[in-house]
Amino acid sequence: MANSESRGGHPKGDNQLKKPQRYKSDSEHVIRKRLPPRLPRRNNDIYITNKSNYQSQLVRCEKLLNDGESDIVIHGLGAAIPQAVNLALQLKTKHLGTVEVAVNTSTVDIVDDLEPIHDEGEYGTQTRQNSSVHIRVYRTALRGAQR
Amino acid sequence: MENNMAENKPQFDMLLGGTQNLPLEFSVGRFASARAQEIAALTQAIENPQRTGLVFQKLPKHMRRRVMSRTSKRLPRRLREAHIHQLRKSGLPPEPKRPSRKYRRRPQNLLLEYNRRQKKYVWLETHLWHAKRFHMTEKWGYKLADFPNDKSFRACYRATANHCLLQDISYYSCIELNGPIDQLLGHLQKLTSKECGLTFEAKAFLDGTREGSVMLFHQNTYPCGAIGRVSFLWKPTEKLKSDDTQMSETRIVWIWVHPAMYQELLDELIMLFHFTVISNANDTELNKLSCSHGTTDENSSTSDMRKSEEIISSPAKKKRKFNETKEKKDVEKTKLATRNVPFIRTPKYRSSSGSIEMVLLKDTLNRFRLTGPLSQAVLLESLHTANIPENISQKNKTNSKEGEKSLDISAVCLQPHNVSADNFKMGKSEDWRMDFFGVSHHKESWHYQETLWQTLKGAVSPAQLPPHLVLALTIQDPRLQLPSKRTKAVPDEKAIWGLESEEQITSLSSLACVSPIWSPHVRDLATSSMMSLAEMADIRSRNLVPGFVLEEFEASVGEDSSNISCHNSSHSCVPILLIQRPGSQDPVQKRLGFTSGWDVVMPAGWALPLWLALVFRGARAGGLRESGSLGFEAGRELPFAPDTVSGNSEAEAQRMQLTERYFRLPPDKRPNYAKLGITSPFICSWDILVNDWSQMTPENVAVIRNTEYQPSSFNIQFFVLRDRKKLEYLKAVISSLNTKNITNTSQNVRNFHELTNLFPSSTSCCLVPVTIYLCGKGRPADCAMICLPTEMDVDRISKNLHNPGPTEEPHIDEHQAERKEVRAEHKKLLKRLRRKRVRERRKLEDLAAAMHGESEVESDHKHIPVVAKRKTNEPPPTKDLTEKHEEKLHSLWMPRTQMVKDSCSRTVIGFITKGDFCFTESRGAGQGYVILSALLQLVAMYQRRLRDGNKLSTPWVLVRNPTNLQYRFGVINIQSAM
Repeated sequence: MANSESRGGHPKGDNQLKKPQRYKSDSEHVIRKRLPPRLPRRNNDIYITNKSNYQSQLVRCEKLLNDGESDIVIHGLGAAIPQAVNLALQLKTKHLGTVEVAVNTSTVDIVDDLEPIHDEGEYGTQTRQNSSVHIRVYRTALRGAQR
Repeated sequence: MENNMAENKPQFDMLLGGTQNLPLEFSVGRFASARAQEIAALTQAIENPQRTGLVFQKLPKHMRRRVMSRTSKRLPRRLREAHIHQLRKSGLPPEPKRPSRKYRRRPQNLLLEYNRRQKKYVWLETHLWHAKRFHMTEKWGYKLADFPNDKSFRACYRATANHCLLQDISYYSCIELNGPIDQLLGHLQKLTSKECGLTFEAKAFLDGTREGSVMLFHQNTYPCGAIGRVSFLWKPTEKLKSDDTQMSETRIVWIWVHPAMYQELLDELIMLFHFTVISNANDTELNKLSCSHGTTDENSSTSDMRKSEEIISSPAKKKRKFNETKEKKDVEKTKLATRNVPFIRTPKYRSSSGSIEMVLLKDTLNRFRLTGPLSQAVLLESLHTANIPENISQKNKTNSKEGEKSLDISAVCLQPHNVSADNFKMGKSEDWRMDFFGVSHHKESWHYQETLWQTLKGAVSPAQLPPHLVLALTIQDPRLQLPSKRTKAVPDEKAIWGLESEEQITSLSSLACVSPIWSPHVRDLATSSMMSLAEMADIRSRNLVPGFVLEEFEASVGEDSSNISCHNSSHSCVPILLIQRPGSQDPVQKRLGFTSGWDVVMPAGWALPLWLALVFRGARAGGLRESGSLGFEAGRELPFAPDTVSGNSEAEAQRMQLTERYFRLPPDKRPNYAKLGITSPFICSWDILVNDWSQMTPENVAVIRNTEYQPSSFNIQFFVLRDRKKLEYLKAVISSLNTKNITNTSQNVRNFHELTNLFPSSTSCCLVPVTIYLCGKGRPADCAMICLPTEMDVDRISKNLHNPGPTEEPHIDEHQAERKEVRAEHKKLLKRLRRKRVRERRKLEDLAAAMHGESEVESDHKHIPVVAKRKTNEPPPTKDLTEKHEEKLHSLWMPRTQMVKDSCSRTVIGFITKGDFCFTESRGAGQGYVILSALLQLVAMYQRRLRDGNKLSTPWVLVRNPTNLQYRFGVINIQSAM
């Protein structure tokens, strides 16, 4: 069943998200989203998305840890927070206690553009806040100890 | 010897005691006739010498040369004509001499050759760069880069997704309209429809801070008669002028249009405004003026050069230098000979009322497109804002107003007398930077733009900036800061995207888009004053550390400015416009900010320097193929809609090409489309499909005939649904079919009723743009069919999602036997004809042999010509026959499309116009159109299923490729309106 949903319902079933915004045909504006500001991208920064495959993101984190990175930082924003947390916890269980997590939360200011529908309208912006999580996953034991 | 002679001839030796006497009389007539015959024989002998052998054999041996057989020029002139005549008779025509490679490769000749080659298909300024690295195609009157030579389909996708893809889209043509704004808008709104979104008069675009895009139609034909989508940009209003109402009313708009629909739009505009061409009589005069002006410009610049060189070089050297620079200037000019470069050369039109003018800026402006998150970093690293000499601007402040006025006049007015007056002014205002930025308002804008540019350093991607933002910059010559090696620009780690920058971005001032690029005078100056490559190389050669040009240049400029030449500094800067493209703004559809980027607009001549600078910062170049795949990946509206003339001609061209390719294949390598049940494999035959669907209800046909046929002269009677509201409704209905929204089933039913009300009639001649994502294996091809699934199909897939889908039973090829027969007959006929030809030849040969035998007796060696052997380049004698046969076979292989809808077991509801594997969705995807009434039928079916309590449902459709019998399940989505 779960499989069928992920396969069949192609537009990722995010129609609840889309619908309220889309249905405001009588209002003056359409909401257009901008890219949220992101922290500088280092090698060990991983930004989690809901759209990418969970398993592959997990593999990516593990690879980084196993390849000698002492710590990695997993960032999750908004709806991707549960996935980020899940990922960090799974890393912890997989590594049998040789890996610890340190969690930071923050709020990100996100700008939305209001695009006018009618010719009389003007462009506008609205700022909203979204929560984000930054999970630092680091090794407590030496890499060789695990093997 | 003498004795012998004496014996033969009569000797009149009577007086010597001989026997012969002189005749007493002789007839003059006989004598004269004999002499006349003699003379005639002599002249004939001279005129037609019976000499055998070649003419050059007349020459003594020491004067003969081996080349004479090839090049007649080595012969003495008196023999040349006869020689050429002889050569021609022997069937060896003298070849025209190709100049030597060395001569041809001389820069000057090479340039001329390049200009000659551009007569049919115009080259972009970056053509040579591209021609070395890309497959070039001839399209829309241009020679364009199609795709890179290296294997880079995926690399280009990766560049758009994660790095920076660079494309030269200078082939987009710009049309400038200027006039009173109310008149402009009043006319232009006839071409647009408010139902399709924002139009020319949208407040959001009218102040010139954002670039808009709009769908254009022929006058008052909406929804039919679409021309295509164009983007437009208004020139920002000058705030200082607000008191002067007349000036503030006159506005300029630039309309950027794709070359495929350029001519169509141009004709429409000319009809709309009643434009007439401004006669060129004045222009030629002006041309002369500008030319003389140009030469003075050269002289002044060279004199500047001389001044700076004076200390170093001796007078003799100086003179040589002078000539050299002059020549090189000419080279730069030759390079631009094919562009519409001095403003005077651009075609101009004036409306019948005289208030509105149109300038065709085709081939005068360049436009680059950067896509991808790193385009921000690439631009930031390669564009450096130019400095404004502070003291000069202070000094000029007094007559700043005048300067501004002169610029405005040149921008606004096209009247020849004004231009000439302006030309006169030009003489004194050589430095456009001084003139433009001398005005306090402009100077302010420059400061603002510079600080804004610095602020943008914190942005990681252009998607963080306001959508469609226009940012004007005046930048230094990008060659001055070119790195010695190709580097990769990455966003500045230290720069912080703080709240302040956010605020600055959100509250954009209109100062950001004030630019001198709007003035034709400035554009011309920027083009003509660009440092030539030679000067650049000269500066570079004087550099101590190779690779860093700037320091040396600054030093030299410093010297110059101390030598009062502020002119030189304007050599090295150019006004440009940056236009942001937001890319994906809806995270539900595509990754946020996907295909976001910048467009860069610059005056002619500056394309290559900027191009190189961008490439040296790690931008990856792409061609036309990338444009196509980019639009596909982003799920954007297709550039050539089926209801436009340009779309039709594009499709037709593709059909021709594919058909030709198909018939070049050997028969066993050709898919038999008759067996596959595909009636139109190479083109989406919309007209037939629409016809099929509208015939379902006879009263519908009548409606269509009545409403659509009469007003429009176009034979396209269908149209693409572009009404934003209706598309949104459709989208909502389709998305409500998804299982996850099963709770609001009751609402769906109501929606459907609304829908039927929304589209009262003519649903069958309306196409809806859709995107289809396949649910499993498979990759839709171009021209794949979209079909309506049966209830059974839907049952099957809802039970088992891995169901591969139904297959089509192979059809019977009705023409197979006939083809065989025709081919056999044709072969037989050919054989018969051949035998006949052989027989005839034999007969002739026999005859010849007989004659030969006879003549042998008479020992005559003349050979009687038999049937001459066919030359290789001559067409075979059966050419017409074979061609006719081929045509017939082609028609038997692929008979004319009669109907599409019921051509196979599932009902066809539309076509996929562009299908491929989609990297962003990691599955096969296709963009296409379906018939609206079919879509409503589909929706009705799924809603019935929902009401019946079938739990699992998504709006599935079937897709079948033209080369395959397998149907694949795909999920249908309505493509969002822009």
